[in-house]
Amino acid sequence: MAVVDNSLTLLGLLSVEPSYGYDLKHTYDRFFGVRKPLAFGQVYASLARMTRDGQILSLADEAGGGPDRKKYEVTEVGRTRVSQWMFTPDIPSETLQSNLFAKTIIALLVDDNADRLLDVQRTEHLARMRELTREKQGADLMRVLLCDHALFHIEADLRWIDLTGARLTQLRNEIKLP
Amino acid sequence: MTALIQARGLRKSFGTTDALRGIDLDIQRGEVVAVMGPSGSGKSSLLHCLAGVLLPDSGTVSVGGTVITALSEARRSALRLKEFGFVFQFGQLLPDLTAIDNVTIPLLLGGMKRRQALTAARGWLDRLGLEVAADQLPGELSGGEAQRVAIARALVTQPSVLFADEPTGSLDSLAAENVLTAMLELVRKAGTTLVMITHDPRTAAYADREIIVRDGQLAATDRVGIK
Amino acid sequence: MNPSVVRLAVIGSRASWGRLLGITAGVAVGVTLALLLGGAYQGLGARDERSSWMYASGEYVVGADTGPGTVTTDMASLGDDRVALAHTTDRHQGDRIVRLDLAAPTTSSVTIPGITDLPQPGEYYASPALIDRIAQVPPDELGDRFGTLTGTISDSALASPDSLVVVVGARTSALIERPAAQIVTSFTDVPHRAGTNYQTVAIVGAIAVLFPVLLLVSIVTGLGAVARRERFATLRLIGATPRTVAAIAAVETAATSLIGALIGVLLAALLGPVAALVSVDDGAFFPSDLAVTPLTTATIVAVAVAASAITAGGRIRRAGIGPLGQTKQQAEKTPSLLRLVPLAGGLGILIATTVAVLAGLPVPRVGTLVVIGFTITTVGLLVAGPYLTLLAGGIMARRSKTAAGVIAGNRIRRTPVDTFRSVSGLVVAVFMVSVFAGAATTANQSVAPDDGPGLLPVSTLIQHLDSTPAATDPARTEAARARIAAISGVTQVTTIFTIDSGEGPDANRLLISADAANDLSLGIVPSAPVVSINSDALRGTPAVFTPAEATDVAELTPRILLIGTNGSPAAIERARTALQAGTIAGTGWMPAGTRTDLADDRLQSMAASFANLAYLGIGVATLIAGLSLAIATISAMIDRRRMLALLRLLGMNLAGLRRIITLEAAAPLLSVMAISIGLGFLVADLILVGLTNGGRSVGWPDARYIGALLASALLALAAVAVAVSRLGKNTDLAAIRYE
Repeated sequence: MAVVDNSLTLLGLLSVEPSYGYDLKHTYDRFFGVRKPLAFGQVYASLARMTRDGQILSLADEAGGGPDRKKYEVTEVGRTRVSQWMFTPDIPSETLQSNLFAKTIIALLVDDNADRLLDVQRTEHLARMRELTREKQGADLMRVLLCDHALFHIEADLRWIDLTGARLTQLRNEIKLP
Repeated sequence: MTALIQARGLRKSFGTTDALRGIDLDIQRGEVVAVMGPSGSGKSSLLHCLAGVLLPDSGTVSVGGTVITALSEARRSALRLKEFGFVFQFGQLLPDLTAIDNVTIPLLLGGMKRRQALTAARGWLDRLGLEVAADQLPGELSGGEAQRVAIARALVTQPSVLFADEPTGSLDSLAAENVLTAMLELVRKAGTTLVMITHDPRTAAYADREIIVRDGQLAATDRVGIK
Repeated sequence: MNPSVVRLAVIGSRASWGRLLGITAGVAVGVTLALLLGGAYQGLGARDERSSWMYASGEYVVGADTGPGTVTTDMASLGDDRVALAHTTDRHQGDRIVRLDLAAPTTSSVTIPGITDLPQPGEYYASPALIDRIAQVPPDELGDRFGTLTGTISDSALASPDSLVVVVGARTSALIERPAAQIVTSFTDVPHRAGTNYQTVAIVGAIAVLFPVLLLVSIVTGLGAVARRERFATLRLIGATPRTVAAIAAVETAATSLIGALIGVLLAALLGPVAALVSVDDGAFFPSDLAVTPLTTATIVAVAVAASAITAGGRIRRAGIGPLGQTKQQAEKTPSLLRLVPLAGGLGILIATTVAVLAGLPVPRVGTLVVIGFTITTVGLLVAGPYLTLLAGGIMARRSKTAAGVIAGNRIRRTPVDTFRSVSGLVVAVFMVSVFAGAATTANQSVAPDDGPGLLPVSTLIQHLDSTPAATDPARTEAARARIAAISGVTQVTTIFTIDSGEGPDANRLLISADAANDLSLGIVPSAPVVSINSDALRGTPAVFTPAEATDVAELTPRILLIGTNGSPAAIERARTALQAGTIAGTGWMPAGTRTDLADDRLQSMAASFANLAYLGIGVATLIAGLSLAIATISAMIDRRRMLALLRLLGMNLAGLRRIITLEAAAPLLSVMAISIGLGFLVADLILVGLTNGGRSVGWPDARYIGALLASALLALAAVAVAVSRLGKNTDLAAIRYE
């Protein structure tokens, strides 16, 4: 869960504007694939699955049509799914929140409320921290130290959330799709 | 259940800066609430308005059914003395008074006999593990000890609300944790409502919930009526 | 050091402008007073020097002397280098007139300062104030005493514009038989009167006024010290050395106090004519008397500037401002019992001096010892103050039942030096008031004599008759008596006699005919033709008549005339003038006086003549001390804004805060005040006894003293009230968080 959910990210990108599979892959790579670009196969597999689930539909085939010549558009079902994804907080974990990052970018791209997304996530993080804090009460030192370890990691995420929240305007200006 | 503290439509500006831009907030009796938000977001102004230290430009604050924004300064002083306690980041102890004398001040202000006040103060210092520090001056105390004395002074009148502004802001992690645990234990046991400004998530994690102030408004998730 | 750094450090904020303004004003007031005091000191000396000619003396004329150079009734026997002189203290409506009767040939080469020629018989020269007075009253009340006015004594020979001086020309024959006549060769080169006692009082007065002035300057220099320390800490953080910071503080204060000092010079020049109106000893000053030489002015300005700069620089250096400022309150060193040592030392010197004087031991330079002892005692009081304050604070902190008391008590206990400094001005002022009031009680013993049954009325003039044959001739005395009895307003003239032969029970007694005694209505007169009256009756004790051996007053020698009047000043002065115009009570003899006049003569004391100056000086000192207290209180409040705000947050109301501030000023004031009052009287007694060889001691203080104490108390209250009225502004609750 912590890693980027590729197909939902692609669905999010598609909800910005209809796009060809080829272009979609490159947009994805631009934002999220700097270190690890997406394989074409993965893109088409995802597109096929989303079409099957009714989240997207391919516009009229053009001449010589292979899969890369199809233009896809998001459906209402797809939009709802993206929104649901964006505003469902991830479970705080100790790994980098790349999924949260993807959600933030998509939210900015589709002009949705990125602040709210971050707040929702902050609440989730704090809820988890509260749990851990409660767990510490009366626990033995070993347990306390383990809880503290988790707390510090979650706190690091929270700091990232706070910082990102403070930089949303700047970020919005930088990622405008060409 | 009616909330102990109810704030409606709080607005406050300082010159051209809007510190609070319409805040509605309910805090239940016995609740521990962390107030978070970036610097300059209006956290402190909110706390000061809730405690009747600042008067909002518009809007009302009621505590236990009393609309404190309509009270005179003298009445608000009396209310602070009886119902509220305050803890700040640092430097709140009277430097010329020993720890125990510092703790007696609110009781003396309330008209208690000095001897009784000293006994009560000693009790609170003991509960906070400060038996030894009672006769020391604030300048001779460590940061954590000083904060615990401040907490003892804030709680000695058994207030219904404790307002804390970055109570552990100047302490290291361990001292902070000790101070917080001690404070929370006393607060929970007495059923005191705690409103605590903090920018530290680990401090906020001791609260029942957090509210986030951004640009003088509450973050959407914290608005009254939204769950 | 870079000047722009200084600029930034000094004129950083509006608050620091207020501070600089305070320093300027404080130094201006201080320099003004110092200049006026300096002027007065010089002026007092100058006018004594100018008037010294009036105290010229020489050998007494002895009537029977026949040796070479003997002065005879022939004026020429004086030669050109000698004059005959009789010195009289005359009176008019309670004021003294210095009267010099002088006989000299027209060719005399002797000169008197202030007049061009020596007066010839029947002529007189008078001071402007006396000429005015002569013109204002009928001649038979004053003018007829002197003769014809021929000239004015110029200001250059007068102590004060108010001086009443007259130089009357006389014949040698009129003076020569007078016991008081002297042969004088010169009126210049007269050693002037100013004794060490006089200088002692002047120096003590200067100390009394200058102490509060110095305290004021020291207190204003400390204005806004906390805010400034923070600014200096910032400078230290960005790399300024402690020396630089101290230098900046010194330069800042020096520049400010220079401006203040210059304003002070201006103010002193403007206020000089007003200050000259103050009557000291012999009267008001000539405005030029108070002018200070440019050198003195420059010295006072330089000292003021240097002192404040050194104080400011030193304070900053001692404060030891590090790059991080003073995060914790700098702990004051707890005053120890050792602080009582200088006080004990000062008192020791005074007591030792007094005891030695009383024991008749030869003590060199008593005056200097007294000044030294007094100065050390005053300084000792200031040094001991913090210790006493500490004790008071400790008691208050332990015993107090209220929050305000606990807070104020502890504050005092932790910072006794600072706390005492605010009130030290008033403490010194009260000490001085007590010393002067104590010293002045001597003068109070000369208060207006009582009237009452059996007492000689105060409206009765007493004229001791000259011992010359003319005056003791019963016929002539009777003629004079009749003449005076006819004056309007004179109700009765009684002659008192003595017996010439020094043997028998009547010797050395005052005798009076029984009829005359009955007419006096002073009490029961025994049935005898002649009775004796107790001589104390003339000084205000009830008259007691006893039978005398003599049977006829015609056989006795007239000695005293008692001239009963209706009490109006005009009648008294008419009688006095008539007596002087006659021959029975001539020049060079004690002129007629009422009991009031004679008591004044007896008890005129140093302390009394300086009472005016003393009360004025104390008034000024008290005002300044009050000002200092107000400034110090405001300064302390500014420095403790955060604490006061915090207390309000805790729920203390403004009244509570006011109580704290008031207690912090009142506790040290009250605790040290009682001691300074007691010490004041002790010191007054020691000074008086020491300086007068035990001749005088202190009595009960008069109403003015109680008034002065009340005024000090009111002033202290007002000062604190003024300061406290600013509380609302200074306890903005926002101060709690952002400092």
